[in-house]
Amino acid sequence: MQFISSPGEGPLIPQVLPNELKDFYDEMYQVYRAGFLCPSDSSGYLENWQTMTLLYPLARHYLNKPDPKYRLPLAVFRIIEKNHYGDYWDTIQNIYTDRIKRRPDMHVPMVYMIGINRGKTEFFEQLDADDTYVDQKGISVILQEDRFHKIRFCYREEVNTYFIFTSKMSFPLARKIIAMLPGLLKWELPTPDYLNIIKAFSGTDADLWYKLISPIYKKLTTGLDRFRTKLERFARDVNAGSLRIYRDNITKYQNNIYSYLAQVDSWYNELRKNQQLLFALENTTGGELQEFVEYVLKHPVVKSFEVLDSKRLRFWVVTPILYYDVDAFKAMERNKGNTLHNYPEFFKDMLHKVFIDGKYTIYTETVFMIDFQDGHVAPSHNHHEGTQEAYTRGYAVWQPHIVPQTYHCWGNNLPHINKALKNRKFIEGWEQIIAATQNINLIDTGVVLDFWKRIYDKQKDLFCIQDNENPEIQLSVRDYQKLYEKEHPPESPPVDTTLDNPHDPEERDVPGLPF
Amino acid sequence: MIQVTIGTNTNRTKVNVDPNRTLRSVLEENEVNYSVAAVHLDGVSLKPGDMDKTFAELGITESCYLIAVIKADNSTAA
Repeated sequence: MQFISSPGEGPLIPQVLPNELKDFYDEMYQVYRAGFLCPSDSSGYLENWQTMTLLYPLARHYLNKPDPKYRLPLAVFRIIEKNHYGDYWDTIQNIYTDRIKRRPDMHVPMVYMIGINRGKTEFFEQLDADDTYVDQKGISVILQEDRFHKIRFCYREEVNTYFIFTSKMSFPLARKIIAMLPGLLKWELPTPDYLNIIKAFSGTDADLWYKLISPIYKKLTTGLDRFRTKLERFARDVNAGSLRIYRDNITKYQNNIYSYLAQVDSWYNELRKNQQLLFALENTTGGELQEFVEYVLKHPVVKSFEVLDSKRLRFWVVTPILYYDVDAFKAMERNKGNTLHNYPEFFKDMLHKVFIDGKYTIYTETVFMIDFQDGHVAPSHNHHEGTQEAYTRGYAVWQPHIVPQTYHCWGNNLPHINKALKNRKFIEGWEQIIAATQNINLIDTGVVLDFWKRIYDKQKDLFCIQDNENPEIQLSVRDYQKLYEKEHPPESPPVDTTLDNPHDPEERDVPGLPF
Repeated sequence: MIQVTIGTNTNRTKVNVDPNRTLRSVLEENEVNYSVAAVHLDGVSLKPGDMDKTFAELGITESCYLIAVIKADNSTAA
């Protein structure tokens, strides 16, 4: 029998096991693993079959105790090798990592052997100057293998870790460290002669160590006693498994209850919301909405309406343009460069009679949608679909500021409209909408020039102006042109200002007009 | 007496008034600032001079809505 003497043999478990232990390995490994963790030891200095054989009886002893979960594992082994290139703090940071600082099993002592390969002298000098790592000289002297061997044994309580810095890694050193642990960590020895076995393990005579430990295994490998631990463990696992199943079930049912409660809560909120809506609707019936319906059915400006769905109505209204800035129109007339002057005389005359003389009033058609549930006014339903013409009913020319697919400009009216609608003051909201349709902002040149162009061009045959003294006289732009030409017979043959261009209906501009 | 529903952007009241009273006096009595408002009587915008007409002169015999809304400009929004 030999102790493992080179790193290459460490990982060869279980091939290097003595024959009598080979069949026993699976059982031994399970028990050992319950007692000792080893996240890092690639060369097998601390974790190899011999260490496992030594510590198996100890782990089994603890495993057989009541409530082993409070005692196991007994230790964590960790080994790394580092080169020191002169930056002490960098080296230490690589050794004392965040993972170690925050390891979840902090209550389990860690035995952490660090082999320093390069820059040994400098590293150990700086380590000695570092108050964080205080060498327990009594132990490090025992562990020192020869006078050239630098070794420091330090304990850091906050991470419950024994740091063993060594300039030389070896299996004898690892065995000595292992042998020291029962005393250091105050483990209960499984048998009275176990101390002798440990002493032999830390020595150099492997045959002696194996001779001492063999009786333990002989006892275990004969008869069925070897299965005791496995069976006991199985029984515990079954119990633990059953418990886990019951616990999992309880957790699952609790979660179900919570989700049902959450769902019930959600349904309750939905119910409450619906009750509120129902309440609001019940109050609305015969209340605000009913009053509004009565009001709007008699309203003179309403030409048509359409039910879009359970909460929205679309309206077509025709309203007079009552609010405008006379000075703005005068400025247009004064400015000969204004686009207004590109139009024929009859057209300018018509607008002059509207805005300056007050003989006529422009009437426009507006189409819009009211959402009575959310409380807002919006462009005509699906107003981006189809052609613009699909939205007109042809009652009059379009309100310049509310044009399907182009303008939805309620301006400063909008907050007042929506506030009233949201507060279910539908009549006030409605009248604010109507007031908005009666307004033309002549300073808004883009909209106004667009308006001139549209009524001159595309909507020339739609109702546009009404005589203020004789309301029965309602004229389109073309009607007014005829009237004007009748009153002002042309000296020369009239210019054909008909805009119907059969070749391109979208570009029916007046010849000579710059738009 | 006629019942007049006076609505503004902020308030709504119903009052019973003598049909021979002018619109202006009723609005003032109910503290409606009509100088900054567009006043609609049953959906019809009032013409200059209508404010000093009585409800009876404007054809109101039973009830009506006198709604004053804020005069606000349209503006461009594409």
